[in-house]
Amino acid sequence: MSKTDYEHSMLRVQEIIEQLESSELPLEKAMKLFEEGTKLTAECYKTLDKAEQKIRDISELENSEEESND
Amino acid sequence: MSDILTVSGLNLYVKTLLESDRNLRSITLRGEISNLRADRRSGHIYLVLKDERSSISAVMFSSSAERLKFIPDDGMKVIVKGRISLYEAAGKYQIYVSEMLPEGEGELSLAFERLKNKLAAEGIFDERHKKALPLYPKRIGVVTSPQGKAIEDITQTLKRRYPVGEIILCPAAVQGEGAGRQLAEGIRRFDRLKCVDVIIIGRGGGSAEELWAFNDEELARAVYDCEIPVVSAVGHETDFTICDLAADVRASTPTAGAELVAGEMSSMLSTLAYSHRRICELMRSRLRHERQRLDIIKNARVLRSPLELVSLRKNELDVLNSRLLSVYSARLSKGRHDIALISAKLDALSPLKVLGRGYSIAKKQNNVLRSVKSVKAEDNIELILQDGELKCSVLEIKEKKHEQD
Repeated sequence: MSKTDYEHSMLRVQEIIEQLESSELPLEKAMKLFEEGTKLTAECYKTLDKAEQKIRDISELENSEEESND
Repeated sequence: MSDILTVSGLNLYVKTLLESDRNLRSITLRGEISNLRADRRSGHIYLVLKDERSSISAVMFSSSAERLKFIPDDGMKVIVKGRISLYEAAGKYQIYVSEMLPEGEGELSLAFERLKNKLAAEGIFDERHKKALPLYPKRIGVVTSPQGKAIEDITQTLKRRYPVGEIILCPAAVQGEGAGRQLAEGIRRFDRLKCVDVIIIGRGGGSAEELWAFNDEELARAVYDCEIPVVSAVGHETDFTICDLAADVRASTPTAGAELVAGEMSSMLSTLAYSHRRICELMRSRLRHERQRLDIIKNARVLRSPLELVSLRKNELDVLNSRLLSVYSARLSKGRHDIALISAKLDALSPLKVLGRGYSIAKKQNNVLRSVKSVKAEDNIELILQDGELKCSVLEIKEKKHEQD
């Protein structure tokens, strides 16, 4: 399985932090990154807040797999 | 008669003979306990092991007896491990027992050892095959009984610790006939679908027999072959299964297994909180820096009151302007004056004007006459009047005497 959306978001956030840490960034660029970063962290918070434990049976996935194979 | 031996000598010889036999150094023996006697003072246990036809004396020294997990008693069928030697004082050969298990359990334990050694030799348990657990599993596969305590524990734990993960249950019998195969098939189903990031396989606590399905060879191989990381969570802390050894991670209980899988949720939250804080912090300090730069520039007088500069400039301009105006107008009026003066002069000097007042101009051969001395009597001269000329002849010349004379 590939990386989850959450993992992708967090990797991007990490990148943004690194870029913000370098002071050579023009202010406008920094503000754009800041905006993107806070948007991503807000989304991640939302993911964590919204999460509720779900249980599914493997046969559900197997059925949908068969359908998608058709 | 040849050499005569002493009893001690003989017993020592036989003892040496027995102990030199490789097969007798470590044997596993099945039998029924009789004549059990525990020496309270030393802690050693003495007993006789028998079957339908034969018996053998056995001794279990206190160091081994202390580790017994059950209380042996006469009539109990057991399996023991030990070595054969001779008790010289009595000339009696016997088994020195190091381990003893009730028969059923003992058989399982032997089977366990055999399978463990076989799979270990194949490298099924090697550390280098162990896969790391994912940090943020999106889906968690669970292979266990849908009715068991394990799924309940796992669900509760994940609900508390890691609600973002979706649980995918693959139901399987966890004990009884065919349970091992069902468990193995559960692992293979997940591996085929690749629909989860990590798998927990396990069950709640039970007797050795009840946990036996997790010592299945097919299951061990399925776990080993599985490309998805597998957490084995069987029974209690003290229970070790082949499945535990083959899995990427062994958890002591299903709850512990769920915690291992969920282990990163707290770090997930703290990483997120840290990242958010760091971004804000960096932006704030950047803005602070920019503001300082602005302050420095702003404090320049020009920028503090920009209008002042304008009015200053305006004043200068006004002054210049009015100077320019006054110079200009002065120049202008002087010009006018000059013109008036000149024109007045011109006017005054105009000969026509003079003629108008009754004067006339005398000329002789086109030369204006200014003195009587320029003329002789009877010369012809011309007189120019306002409205014409007169041709005249000079009759007489009277020279004016100087007034001062």
